[in-house]
Amino acid sequence: MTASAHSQAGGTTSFSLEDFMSERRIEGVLRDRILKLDTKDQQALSSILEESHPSANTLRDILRLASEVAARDKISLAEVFTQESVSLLLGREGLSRKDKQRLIKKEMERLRYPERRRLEDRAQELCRELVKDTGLRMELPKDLEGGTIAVRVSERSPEGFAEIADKFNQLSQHPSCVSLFNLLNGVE
Amino acid sequence: MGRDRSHIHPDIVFVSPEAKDDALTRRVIERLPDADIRYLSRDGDPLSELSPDETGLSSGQELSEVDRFTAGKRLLLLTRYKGSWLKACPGTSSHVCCNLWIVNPGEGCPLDCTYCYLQSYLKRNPTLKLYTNTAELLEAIGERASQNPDRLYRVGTGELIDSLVWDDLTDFTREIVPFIGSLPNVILELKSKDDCVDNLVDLRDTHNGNTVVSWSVNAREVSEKDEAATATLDERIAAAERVVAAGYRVGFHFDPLVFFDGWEEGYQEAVESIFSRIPSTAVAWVSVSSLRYQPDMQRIMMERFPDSSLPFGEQFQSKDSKLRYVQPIRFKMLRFVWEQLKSVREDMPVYMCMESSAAWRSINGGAPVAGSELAEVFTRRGRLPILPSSGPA
Repeated sequence: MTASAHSQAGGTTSFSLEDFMSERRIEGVLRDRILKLDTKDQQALSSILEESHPSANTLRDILRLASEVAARDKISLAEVFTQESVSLLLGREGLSRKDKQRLIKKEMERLRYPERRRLEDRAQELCRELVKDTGLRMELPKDLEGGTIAVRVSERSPEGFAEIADKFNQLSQHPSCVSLFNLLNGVE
Repeated sequence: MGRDRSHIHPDIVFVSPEAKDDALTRRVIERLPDADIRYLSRDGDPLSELSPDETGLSSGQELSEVDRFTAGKRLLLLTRYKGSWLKACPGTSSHVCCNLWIVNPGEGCPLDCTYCYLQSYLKRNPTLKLYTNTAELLEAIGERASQNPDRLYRVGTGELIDSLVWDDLTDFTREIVPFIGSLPNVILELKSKDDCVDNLVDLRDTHNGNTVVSWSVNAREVSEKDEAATATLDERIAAAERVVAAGYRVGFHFDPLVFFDGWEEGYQEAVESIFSRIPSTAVAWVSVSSLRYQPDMQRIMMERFPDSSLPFGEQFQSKDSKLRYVQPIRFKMLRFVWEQLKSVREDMPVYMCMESSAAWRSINGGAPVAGSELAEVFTRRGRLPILPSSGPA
């Protein structure tokens, strides 16, 4: 199987999978794995690589996540890479390659862990509401694991600290704070 | 009584040199008339004794790790155990542990559940094993119990092997159950996914209340898809009914809880099915725990069970390095099943196996305390109540 030129938009471009892998020093098991993909999977992957130019590590993550989605849903890798949400990302104007790498990986994580991503997004949304309404910045436990939420406080004056008690009082009664603890505890 | 279990019997039985005259060896061989019996001239890996015809490989080729494990399910080695019999359950780091002691009368299981950790733990040594020097096993338990007469030992045989799966071949329960019944400070837990309880029913007059027979149970969806060769949920419940009638207390382990579409209905139905037939007063304990496995298990499951969805859960790598469901999902499932069980009986002794202290705080309001319904599970002192036999099985 040769890694030929391809563009998802339909036209042929000068993109070469083999050149890309040489340039990004993608070697060993990862390189072999990519070269063993069937033509359709390789073409779909090429579209992503051409648009985002990921590093070997990011590519490895993307490929692992996509492969797990494909195996779970009994679909091809090409079908994962050409999902509408991915195509929309690739076609979005004004995004840098770095942005696209990050967003594609995030999208693969969302496809692989839909409920986990939904919970993480919901937790972030609640944190944003709390910052907006109380000025206090929540620190969620890593991987949402554990029973505690930390709050980072920084003030520029003693008076600022005096106001914090009020802020904490406000925080403790805020519905989003209750929702945040409920989310961590699997109550909602 | 109980189901036909010929499909889980081994094709080939290897007998190590020192085990050939042991009573358990003779019994197993006698009860497997169709098995190919091979007497080994030395200790070693019986898999290497197989001919290319038997492995399906040509000479010089080697079985893959996964194929070796699958092949091991059809082989049984009868041998003597030379290590230390009684061990504290290793539990798992950073998690609350229930102080169970374990003895292993063998190693490996023919029931082949998709999520079984033995696929990783025994991957280099996959041949099923039964130890024939069981008198030494009993001696080790008796010795430990007599050294600390004020301490209560809960001892389980179901860590590396299903406690009942081979009992039709070995009659091991006929040795261990009366023996434990004679000890004042030991509770034996026989843990199984099988329904092989004829011996236990016969032992109604000698168990003395010191043996608890427990079953790992799951939603039917999980049981049917991912517990390949086990007894069905209904068969397990029927077996539990029989041992309750013979005066035993029983346990149930909702482990592993699996997150799937319809999990709430699935687990609710399982709880209702069990407690519509088993009186909650006959329950010694119930545990709940969510799916977790070592990272290498994901690849093994994908290769051995390509239709299973278990390798693709909503997991992350936790502090003990195992993959677990993310906490909000895990706690939601644990709480749901916990509450289902408590709705059957408020003081049902329910505990979490290998769960964090955060889980205990969130679901139980705190760690298990002395004097609660969980005292028997977590205490190191005390005695079991003796239940009267409640009628014929």
